Amino acid sequence: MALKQNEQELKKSAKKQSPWSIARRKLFQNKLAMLSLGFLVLVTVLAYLAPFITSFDPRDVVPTNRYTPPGGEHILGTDGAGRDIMTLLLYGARTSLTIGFVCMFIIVIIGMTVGSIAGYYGGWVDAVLMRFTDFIMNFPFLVFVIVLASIFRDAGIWALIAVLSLLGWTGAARVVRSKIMSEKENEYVMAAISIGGTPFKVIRKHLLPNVMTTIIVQATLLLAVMIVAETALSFLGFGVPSGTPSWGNMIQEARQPHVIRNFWWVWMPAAFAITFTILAINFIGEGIKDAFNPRSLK
Amino acid sequence: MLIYTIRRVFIMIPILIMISVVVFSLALAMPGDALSGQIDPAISSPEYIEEKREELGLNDPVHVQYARWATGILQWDFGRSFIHRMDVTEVIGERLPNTILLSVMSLMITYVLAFFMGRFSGRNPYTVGDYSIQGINYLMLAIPSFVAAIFAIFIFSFQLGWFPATGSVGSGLTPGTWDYWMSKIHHTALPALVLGGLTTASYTQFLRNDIIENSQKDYVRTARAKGTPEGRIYNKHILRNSVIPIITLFGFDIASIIGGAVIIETVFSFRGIGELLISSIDRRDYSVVTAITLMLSVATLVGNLLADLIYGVVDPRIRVE
Repeated sequence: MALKQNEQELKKSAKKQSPWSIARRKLFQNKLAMLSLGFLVLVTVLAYLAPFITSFDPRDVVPTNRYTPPGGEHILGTDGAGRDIMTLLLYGARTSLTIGFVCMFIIVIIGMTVGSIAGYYGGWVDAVLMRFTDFIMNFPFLVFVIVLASIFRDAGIWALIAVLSLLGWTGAARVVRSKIMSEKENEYVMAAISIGGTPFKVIRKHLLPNVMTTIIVQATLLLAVMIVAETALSFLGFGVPSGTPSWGNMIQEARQPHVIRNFWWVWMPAAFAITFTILAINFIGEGIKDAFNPRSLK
Repeated sequence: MLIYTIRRVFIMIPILIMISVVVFSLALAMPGDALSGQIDPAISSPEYIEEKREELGLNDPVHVQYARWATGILQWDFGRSFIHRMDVTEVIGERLPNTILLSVMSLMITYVLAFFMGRFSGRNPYTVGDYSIQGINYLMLAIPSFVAAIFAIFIFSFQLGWFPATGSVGSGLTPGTWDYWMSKIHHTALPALVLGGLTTASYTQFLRNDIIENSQKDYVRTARAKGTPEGRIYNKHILRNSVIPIITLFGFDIASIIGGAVIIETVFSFRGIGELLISSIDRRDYSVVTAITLMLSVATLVGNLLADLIYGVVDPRIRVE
């Protein structure tokens, strides 16, 4: 019953405000989402300001300094190559976040293009594109990423980004397609077509703005998935080249049981960093979804 | 239902052929000889490689090679493994039971945990217990599987000493004995707990939301009105309806277990298919890589088919198009 009352209240206020400003207000009131956003911004800023925060070089291998416990000159200690953990954590954040964001953007663009073309045209265009999407979905994502990454192992970070993006867009395309399909039944779309709008213009100016909320929610989910994928691949040795600091590479040392047991400070900071970042992104995604959902209670 | 099943299985055949073409192309792109596994990667003399390539027909046109490879697979011939010095089917056959045991145990853990947690949360929504379960769920969804596995080894193997940290069976045990099997289950328990525990989150959430939704429906009100005890309403009336959607997730679970097993098995040095894939790539044993890739793709496809079929059984509307 509380739900119905709230709905009525929201409907009343909706007459005065645009859906975007309602959503923004609801999002700002969501403490958990705002706290998470703050955390994510903080991590990003720290990552890109890394050279100003730490005086160590992440590539500085000091064999005499292996596995120094936390405290003293090295706040979080050093790893098996004598590198400063704090420095690796900051530079690693830069690598992991950059790959996550770039993959997210590429995937959103591919997913949006394929999804809106399939949804708008329907018929055989839709059939061909969706069969292709289903086909890619049939492959076990991680197994194929690993095999492809091992083939292009020497090609560096960009090959990794390409592999992750080219295999990861299917879910986004499906969601955009189904949203566009239901949206294009509306009369305003027919009106836009009848006054001579080209398909490109109708999709870009009329349909996409109305499915934007779905795309934003998908994008946050994708960011989390891609960061996990990158760190997992680097952990297994198929991601970022081992000399480049990344959160996954930092945990790679924990593939030896004695490191897990005796040198917890080597892997634990990166492990916590990944988990809290993903947690924060998920809370932001939840918050955005909630903010755009007219039936939500908040 | 029979016609629906037959149709669904037949649709699979062209997809299977296309998948085999993709795997074949990947094998061609891999360095060395990923199809038959008979060129020694240690010998790098160009004359040796050229001679072997000619002998194995690797200089033939692509479609001839594909036909030969595909015929071999239909006859259960996946080539030889250079590292293990035996047929690829044997290498995989040795590892497969371990992965199957891991998957079955993790599935059981997922369903049991999700059932009890989801039922509790759904019956007592917006209480302290529900909020704690939801909190755990958020953490489970956020923590990557390899991070969870490392924490599990750190806590349960090293700090508490409950489970072995690596391996799939204790050394010096005769296969087939009681001790051997107990050691096997003991070694599989922790990886299965991590693999199964992480999937629990979405299942629990699904069951919880479905129970809450169902508890406001008319048939529940009717049951309450005629004086049915609350426990009976939840355990008999609602649960029967809410468990159905969970069962349909089973097929998709196969796909997620495959990806998860690759990572978890590697962290635990658990001798299964996933660990074999990673170590074969590291040791450039590409014929094994090709075979596992094909096998896991087919398993994923079958998982998706199962999901569709179970869905058809549960919801008759799916069957008629």
